[in-house]
Amino acid sequence: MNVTVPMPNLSLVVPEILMVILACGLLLVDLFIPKDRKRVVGYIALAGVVVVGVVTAAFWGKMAQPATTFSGTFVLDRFALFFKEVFLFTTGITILISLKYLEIEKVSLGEYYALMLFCTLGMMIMVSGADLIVIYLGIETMALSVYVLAGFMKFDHKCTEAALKYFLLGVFISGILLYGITLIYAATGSTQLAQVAAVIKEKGLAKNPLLVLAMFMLAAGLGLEIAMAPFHFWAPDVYEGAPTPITAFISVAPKAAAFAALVRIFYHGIQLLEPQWQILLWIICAVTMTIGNVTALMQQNVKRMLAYSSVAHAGYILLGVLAANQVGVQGIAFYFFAYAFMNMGAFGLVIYLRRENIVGDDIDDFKGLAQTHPLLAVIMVVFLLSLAGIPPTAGFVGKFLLFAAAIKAGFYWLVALAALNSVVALFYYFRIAKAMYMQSPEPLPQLSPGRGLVLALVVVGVFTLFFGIYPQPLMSLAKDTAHTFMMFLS
Amino acid sequence: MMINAWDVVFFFLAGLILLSALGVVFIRHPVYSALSLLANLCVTAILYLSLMGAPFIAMVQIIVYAGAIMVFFLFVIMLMNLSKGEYQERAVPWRLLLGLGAAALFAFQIFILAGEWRGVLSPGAGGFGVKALSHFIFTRYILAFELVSVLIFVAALGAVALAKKKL
Repeated sequence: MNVTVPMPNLSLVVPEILMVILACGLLLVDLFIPKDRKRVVGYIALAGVVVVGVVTAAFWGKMAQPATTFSGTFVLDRFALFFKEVFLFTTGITILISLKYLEIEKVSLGEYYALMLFCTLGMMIMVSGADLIVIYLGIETMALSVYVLAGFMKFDHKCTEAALKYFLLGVFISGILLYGITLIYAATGSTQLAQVAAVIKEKGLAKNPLLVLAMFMLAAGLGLEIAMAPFHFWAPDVYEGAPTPITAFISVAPKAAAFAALVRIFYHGIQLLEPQWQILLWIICAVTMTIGNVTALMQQNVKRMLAYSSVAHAGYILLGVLAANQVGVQGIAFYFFAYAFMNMGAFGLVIYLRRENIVGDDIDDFKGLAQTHPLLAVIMVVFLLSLAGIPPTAGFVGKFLLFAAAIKAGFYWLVALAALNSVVALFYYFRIAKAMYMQSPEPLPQLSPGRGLVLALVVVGVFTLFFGIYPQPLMSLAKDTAHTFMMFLS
Repeated sequence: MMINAWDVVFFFLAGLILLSALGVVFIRHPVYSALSLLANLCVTAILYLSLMGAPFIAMVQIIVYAGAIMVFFLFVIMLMNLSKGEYQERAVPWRLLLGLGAAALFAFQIFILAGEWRGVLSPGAGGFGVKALSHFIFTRYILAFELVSVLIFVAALGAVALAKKKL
């Protein structure tokens, strides 16, 4: 048998290759750096992430048309590029806010940064996978790194418990996801999204019970990382127990990656099942928003509150997925950048309040912050306004796009419910503001933030305001993203 | 629906797989439970061999799962050294309910699949040996193949990071 091995177009995977080299290189460099200078490893990781970000951005102009490589299992389009930038941005900010935190927690393992880069690699593969197998491998690469990162402070009981819960649930759900992929293969004879779509169209399988079952399982499999109901139970425990920079990371990047994979599979693979998945997502969307917001009302711990708030945000973003139109994809893309700014910012502030012996995640730790650190309180208010979706912040623009998309698609009741939920959300976000402005401070040791954290807070704070007042640049990028992505469908 | 010999083989093997899987859940003695898993893995290998014509995958299934991973399981059971009281205490119907639910789901799927599986797994059609497999892995799925190596590396790295005595 003569086999010709086609040479894949490697230029499309340059960012991923660079990421692998960077992560492996970091492990080697780590060996030569003494324990008290591990900060250097963080700086190198940060520089590397910036380089990969620039290389990824350089593809933007060339990718007006999607390009595939590796026999169609890997696709690079503006949708993938946009999300890769979200991940790289989040990773960069997470490294910045980790530098000092790790020293306070006395973590001096360079593996921390390498795992974070591998996690980013997994997410970059997830958004570019055009084959269910590749998407699955991306998910696993991401998930394995996140499990370890969530339990990195292994002498802390809360932390290890959170990581173990996350791991067990993750493995279980991963099995369900694989089962879903198997069923898709059984029904269509392929795992490649384009071929799956073609077979469904050709054979008229839109109502095939196997495929409907597979759709449920895929939604469940990705729903864990999205933290959508009923797979959100892990979120508060893990968010509370994990090291705070990792909490910030988990709340943004894996969620974005899972959403991107969900959108790609549902829009490009099983779009003919749209009537079925619309019913499913409608229910999930309504339940997720409501559970997230109502449960957040009762939280005393800020990390737990933000966990439930992130569940609620997953509900809002599902509106965009449901809409299945160009504005919806634009809204999802925009929202994730906005969400990265404001959520990283809010968690960054929790880290800022980290003192000796105090985690800084109780709502009482925010008491009187306006008197002791007025500037810090103002920045926190900006993040809270953005999370609640009030102008002039980026969160408002993102929410506006999502709601507009859902209205355009005719989901009036759901948008009404989302608007009601936003009002509920105001209440608990402003409990923090109330603690900062209306209560007097307690005598506490001085705050001693690292320069990295201050820089990160300034960057995300400025972005939150800037893209709220002048969203045009990011909006047009998101629009291009949505445009090339939806071209497939027509 | 015509029932041919392949259908009989399939349903017989599927029934065995299901039975042994239920055994893993319900048998209380950990070693017997593990042996039931072993039976499950072996019957799955027979399914690969007989219906899919994939001898290589069948062999790998036996060597990797029944060989390496089962030994690992038994090792863990031995290390934990459970005494009789520790594994006989539970009397929760939850497991039974969940197990039966899963079995019902599986039976439902077999029912649906019975009409359609021939299209995908064509028994005896050319076979699926080492050559065909390697052809697939090193051409069409080369990216997935490389990704698996990254994945395993990450798993090893994570295990090392968690096993280190100091932070």
